Amino acid sequence: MELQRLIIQRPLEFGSILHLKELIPVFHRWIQQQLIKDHLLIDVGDYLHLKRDPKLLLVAHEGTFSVIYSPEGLALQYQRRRPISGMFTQRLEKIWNTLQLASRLLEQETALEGKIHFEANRFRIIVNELLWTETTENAPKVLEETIREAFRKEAGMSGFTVTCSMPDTKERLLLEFEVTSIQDLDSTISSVEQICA
Amino acid sequence: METTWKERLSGQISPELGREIDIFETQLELRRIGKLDEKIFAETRLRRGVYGQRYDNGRRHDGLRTQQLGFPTGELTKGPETMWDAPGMLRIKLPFGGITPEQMEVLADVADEYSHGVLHVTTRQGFQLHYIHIDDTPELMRRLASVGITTREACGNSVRNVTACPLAGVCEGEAFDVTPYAKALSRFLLGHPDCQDFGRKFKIAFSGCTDEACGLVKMHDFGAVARIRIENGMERRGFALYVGGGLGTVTQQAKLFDEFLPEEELLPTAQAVCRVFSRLGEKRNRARARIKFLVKKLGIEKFRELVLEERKILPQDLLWTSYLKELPAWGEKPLKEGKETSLNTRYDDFNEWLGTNVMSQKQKGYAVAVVTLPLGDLNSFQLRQLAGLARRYVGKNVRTTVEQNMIFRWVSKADLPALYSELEVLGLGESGAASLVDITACPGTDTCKLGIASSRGLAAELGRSLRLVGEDDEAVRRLRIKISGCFNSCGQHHVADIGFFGNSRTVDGFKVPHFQVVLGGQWDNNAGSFGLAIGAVPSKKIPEVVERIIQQFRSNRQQSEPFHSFIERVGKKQLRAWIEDLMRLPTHDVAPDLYTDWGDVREFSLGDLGVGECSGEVISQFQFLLADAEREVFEAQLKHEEGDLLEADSLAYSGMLKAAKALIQQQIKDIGKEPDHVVHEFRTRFYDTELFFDQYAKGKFGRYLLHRYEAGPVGENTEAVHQLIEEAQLFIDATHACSAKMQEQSVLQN
Repeated sequence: MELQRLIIQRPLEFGSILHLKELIPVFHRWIQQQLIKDHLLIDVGDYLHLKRDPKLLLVAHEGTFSVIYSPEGLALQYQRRRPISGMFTQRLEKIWNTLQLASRLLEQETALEGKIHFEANRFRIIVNELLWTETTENAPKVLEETIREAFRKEAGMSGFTVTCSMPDTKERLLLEFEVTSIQDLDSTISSVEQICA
Repeated sequence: METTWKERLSGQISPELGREIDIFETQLELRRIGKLDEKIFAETRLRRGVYGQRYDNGRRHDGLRTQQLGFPTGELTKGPETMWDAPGMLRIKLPFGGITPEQMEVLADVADEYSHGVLHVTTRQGFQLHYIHIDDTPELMRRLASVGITTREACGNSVRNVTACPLAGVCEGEAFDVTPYAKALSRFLLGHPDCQDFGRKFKIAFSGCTDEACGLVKMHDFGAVARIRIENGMERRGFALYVGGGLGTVTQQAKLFDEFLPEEELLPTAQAVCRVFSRLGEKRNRARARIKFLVKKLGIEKFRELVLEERKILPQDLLWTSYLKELPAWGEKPLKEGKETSLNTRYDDFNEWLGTNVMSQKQKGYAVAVVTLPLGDLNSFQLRQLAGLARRYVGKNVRTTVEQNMIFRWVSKADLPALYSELEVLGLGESGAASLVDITACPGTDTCKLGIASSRGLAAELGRSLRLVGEDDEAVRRLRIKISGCFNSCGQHHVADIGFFGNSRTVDGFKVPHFQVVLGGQWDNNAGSFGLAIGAVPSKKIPEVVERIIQQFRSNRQQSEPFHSFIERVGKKQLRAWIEDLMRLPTHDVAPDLYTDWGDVREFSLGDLGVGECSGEVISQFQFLLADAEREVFEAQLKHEEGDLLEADSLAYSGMLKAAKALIQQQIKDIGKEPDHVVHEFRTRFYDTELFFDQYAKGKFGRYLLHRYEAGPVGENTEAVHQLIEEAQLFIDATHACSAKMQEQSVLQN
């Protein structure tokens, strides 16, 4: 089956100090200006009362952006909701690009006065499709190799460390990537864009 | 390898549930290709729990202007003013709030994949998922069905989730455990033919006792309170039965229908009530279509008389009493041995939790622990982990509550410290259950199409600001706050000590979110009385209102005077005087923040209000059956294309029978599914009388059914089956025409 439902998370740099409420007007303005390419931005969801994730949502027809607390601290997450056509690498590329765009917008957001910086060398991918995980033999390995290959192939990257975890069989399959050499994450993303262009 | 959930779950879903979902999937397809009317589809999906959500009309006020939301499927709708692609809500039924660890895990899974990982417990003990795409709903329903959960009749003009006291079976004060009765009635009425033609929804509740709040029986359409009567020295079980209660814009306390309805009469009486409601309830004016209006119009005596007459003529049904035979074996089994233990002082937070969230059961050594959910929300991770905790501590004995929490039953008291520690790690160890900070709120403007003001925003704010209030005063601590985003009372504000419902006022040329203050509702005695509306206050000033009212209650109550008595004694005039200054607003340029709502930075607007779906679409039983008949003929075409000729023949014939039945039911109610019976009635009532005849074709279309009935299956002949499918379609068209002719004749006669 085709793996469609992916989640990608990018953690904020340690020390980013931000009152999450500050993001609410920012997200509303993004909706006013429909700032995310190829997305129909619809609404902002406030879940600050939850002691767990998500804290804030920016809901689009195509996918949902969430501000969450990852184990390392605050992170921005993009959860793809609607299917994307094309090969896996093409789908991955679109999801990457979307998260990258949102990350950059936040970093450059004047209202936030430079309080947000994303870590350059770490990201997580979560398979949000239980049927794929359950029906794909060696799912973690297959996914890891596919993603490694996508990065390695033309970008010549070899400095990944990948941690794969399904902390509990009931939880989602999660791959944690750390880019340790050659290029930083932004270059990695650009490389993937080039591969898939 | 399985590539769909339908394949993967094959064999794990009951055939009946599986077939229902397949049918819904076909209906989705029919609507998508324009072969199913949008109003019929709207009510169809509502009866599958697929509900609308704010902005689904394709418009949203972004604070500056109203944006047209250009969804990819363009103008395709899933109901009037409801765009196909717009995110929607799925309501999930859990009769009496019962939920197993396995069900929790599947709920967590579907929340992750089809929603955004958050689940909301409703005031009817069900769950809601938001931001769902309608295309995902059949798959989602199959996954729920694989663990015995249905969304059927969770919305629309139908029997909603049956609620019951969450302490049923473990409460000291109950007459007996109402759980098996709630379960049996829920099953009996689900999809029952006598419940398919209501003008509005129908809500049922059970309570084990009269005095406590738990069941909220008196605000329900049909409420049953457990009673035991001694007859000839033997205990006999029954119910005090109440009918016609309701909140909404026009509140009404339910009327006592029967002081003691024997247990064996519960199901047939409910069926008779449904029949009377179906027959005599208002259908056109939805604002007056709940059963409370019928009871009021007829008076309880006349209503009772009609129901008892109907009861006498009901065809006997074995299901009425078959469940009673299983009652002696009914009972929850604790996972662990109950142990009394000394629970004094581990540390303060634990003791506080123990004081507010834990109750001893009537069974020695066991307790009930309330898991407090802020605003009724929890995320998928928490729910999965709760499933794990349930497996370790209580097994299947978990329920949701009408106060939007969850409870673990049959916790061995010795396990309470460990359970608390684990809940705390999950962020679910908050104390304050059933207290001032355990605030109930409907979804309001967050996701509801009818929401006027932000009930959840206000609830979150009050939850924060009141955290320490009342720590020194148990009477204050035990006050309940409930908030609805509009007058429709989904947050049950009428039965709270301090209730609010959202509205709007125009001040200084600006629309301003307000809440009407409703004081002194009675939560106890099964929602014994409703509160008093005092006046509308700007949303941002509500925390001050609460502070003042609490202060007055602290200072001026007489000894142990309950809050509702205090409110009644003080009176509306004085109450209003206490908050009158808060009802006024400074001008917009002085305090612009007061002109916005909680948690929403946009300029306040009513432009996002949509058409509510609470009342569903009033679609007659005839229209439903005809749509179902057409669906079967459509499926027959698909089977024909696939080469499954026998199935195609069967479906085309079944479609004709359903259409005929739809016509017959306009004249007589009790008609079975048997072809002999349906064809006989069709022949005598519509064919022989020439009522079904077309002006030019005469009896030709009617003969299609009669011929197929007499000749039997056409066999595996592709042309013959194709012809039968065409005939079936013509028969259905003729059924539409016949019905229209009957209506015209009826108008002329009147």
